[in-house]
Amino acid sequence: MRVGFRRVTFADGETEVERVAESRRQSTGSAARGAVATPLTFLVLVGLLVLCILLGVGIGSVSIPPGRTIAILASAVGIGVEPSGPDTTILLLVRLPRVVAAGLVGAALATAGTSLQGLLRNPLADPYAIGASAGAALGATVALALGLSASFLGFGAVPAFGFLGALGAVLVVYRLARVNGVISNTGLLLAGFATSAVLGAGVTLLMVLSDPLATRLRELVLWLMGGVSVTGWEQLPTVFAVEVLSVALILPHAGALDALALGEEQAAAVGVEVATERRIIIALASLQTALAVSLGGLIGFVGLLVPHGLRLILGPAHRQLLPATALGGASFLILADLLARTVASPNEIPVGVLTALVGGPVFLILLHRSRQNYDY
Amino acid sequence: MTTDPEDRDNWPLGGVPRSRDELGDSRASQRGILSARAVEVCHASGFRLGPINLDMKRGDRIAVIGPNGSGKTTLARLLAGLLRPTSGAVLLDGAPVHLLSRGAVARRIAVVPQEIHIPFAFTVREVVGLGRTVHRGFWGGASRIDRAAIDRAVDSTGIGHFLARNYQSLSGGERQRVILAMALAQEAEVLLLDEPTAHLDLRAQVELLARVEEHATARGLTVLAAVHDLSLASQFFSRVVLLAEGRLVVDSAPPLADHAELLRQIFGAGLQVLTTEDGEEVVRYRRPIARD
Repeated sequence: MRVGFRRVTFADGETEVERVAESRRQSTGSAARGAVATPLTFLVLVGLLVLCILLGVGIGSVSIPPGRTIAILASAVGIGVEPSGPDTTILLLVRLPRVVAAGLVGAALATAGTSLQGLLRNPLADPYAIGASAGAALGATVALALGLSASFLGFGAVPAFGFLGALGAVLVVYRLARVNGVISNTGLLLAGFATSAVLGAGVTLLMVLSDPLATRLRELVLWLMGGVSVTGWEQLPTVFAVEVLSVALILPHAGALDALALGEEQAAAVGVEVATERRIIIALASLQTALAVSLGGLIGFVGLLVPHGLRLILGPAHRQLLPATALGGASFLILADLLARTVASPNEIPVGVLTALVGGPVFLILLHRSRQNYDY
Repeated sequence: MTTDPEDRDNWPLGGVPRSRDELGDSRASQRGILSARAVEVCHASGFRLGPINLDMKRGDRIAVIGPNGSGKTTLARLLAGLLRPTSGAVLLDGAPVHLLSRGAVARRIAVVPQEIHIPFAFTVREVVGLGRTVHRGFWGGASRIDRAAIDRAVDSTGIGHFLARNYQSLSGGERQRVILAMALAQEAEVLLLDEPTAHLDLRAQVELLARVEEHATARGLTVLAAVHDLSLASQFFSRVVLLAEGRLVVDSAPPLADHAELLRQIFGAGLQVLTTEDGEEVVRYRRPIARD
């Protein structure tokens, strides 16, 4: 408590001196706030992404020195002499696609997490934790089991079915978790857990019962554990375009996401068309989850760790937070994927295992803290 | 204008006193900024509100009083267009409020709820800025007009010295001032408050309502507040609307002493309306020491 005194004149003409106390309760999560300016943070995030890309393409079973890496990358975009050799092939046709895919998966999961957290008013709403990823996985598995290979402008049936699965899962969890207009922690996590369990069982059932899938069981299990095993460029330009587009489309809704922190009813009172905004945000978050899952399987906690970390630096305003989480999520998963394929080399750890090892404990700490801060 | 206190055939269960509209009120014919026309709400749970007719005229400061469950909050939400009536309509300058976009409503009506929990670490200034949501452009940046509105709201509520603090770290009284500032920053001409003082201590209650009164008078706002405290209702408002079991039974200017007998019927026999030396009303409830 900070205590002071002030002179007050009352309606009956009397003047008195009274004691005023201002609460100084410990605030959580805003300590570092304001110390770093927003433009600087973005500069650092872009620098970090470039660094992660360089590390990601340079490090591996065949080590390529940084200077050589830059020369090859520069030549690929038409700057400098044309280098050749096996390292050029490894870098441009094996590692770079994988790094780009990891970056896209990370960016998609992180922005999906940020928007779902804003909509559901809950910092624990990770696409994996609330069942969106499991929904996308089931959708994708159905497409694989049916042998659907149709694609439109490179956007295949697998992510399209994944999108429907994620959309269905988020809608179910939203309906189940929302009681009297309020979404409780317990309701959200229980609904997410149960939905994930049911959808996950569906995926397993399909894998075992469908003949075309049973023959690819090992590959599918590795995919479900979370692994960016992209070998080539085919689908990446489309995924890149869709991801950039969905971040661009969600940005105009940043103000609505901020206002939703007040609760749905008060958000409506300050002028937000809540039902419309909810549809748009759920659709875009589901699309991003589907992109991430069809490229990288079930990778948990990226959508929790990245937004949480960046909220500590930038604050919770979504206009800055959304683009920042896209950049940060990309760097985070490129780095995680690099670790996943190098720490136990020549074996590869599924990157989902790695993110769960880091993200799981952070999730538990946040859950514990949220219990102290508010009671629903 | 009051209902005859003797007229209570089935009172209090079925026969609520007749509403002023059934008695024919000449004021209902005049047009208000915001008005309820035969508004009714029926819940599956059995809760019923209305039919209610109420006209808020420019510059009115209306307190809605009534026991728990009498429909104060429901009425405030109806008027804000946050709840759709089962029948009847709420008209904002003649247009049914539920047909208008939320943006169009928010430009005219601002709402202060009981208490707001915010799950993220927004600063006080950012929370006040949320009141400008409807005025922001496509990319959501704050214009000079937005910043000026925020500054005025901050001045009116006296929260200037803790703008950089985290909303979550504030006390209940401080939070409620911030929420009031947010609603004022909206610069709407109608301000609806739903038990804004519910969680505040005595001083914070009086200071909050005094700020509302000052701001409303200075800027010509039309105010309606659901309030539990009858003394505050009498001291801070120019019109008092009494609800009982979902019906509007009194709509008149203070003093409440004029309706003391009806208030006793509705709130209980222990209620007393006292008047202080300087003419302010204090409503107290006597402690029962023995019951049959």
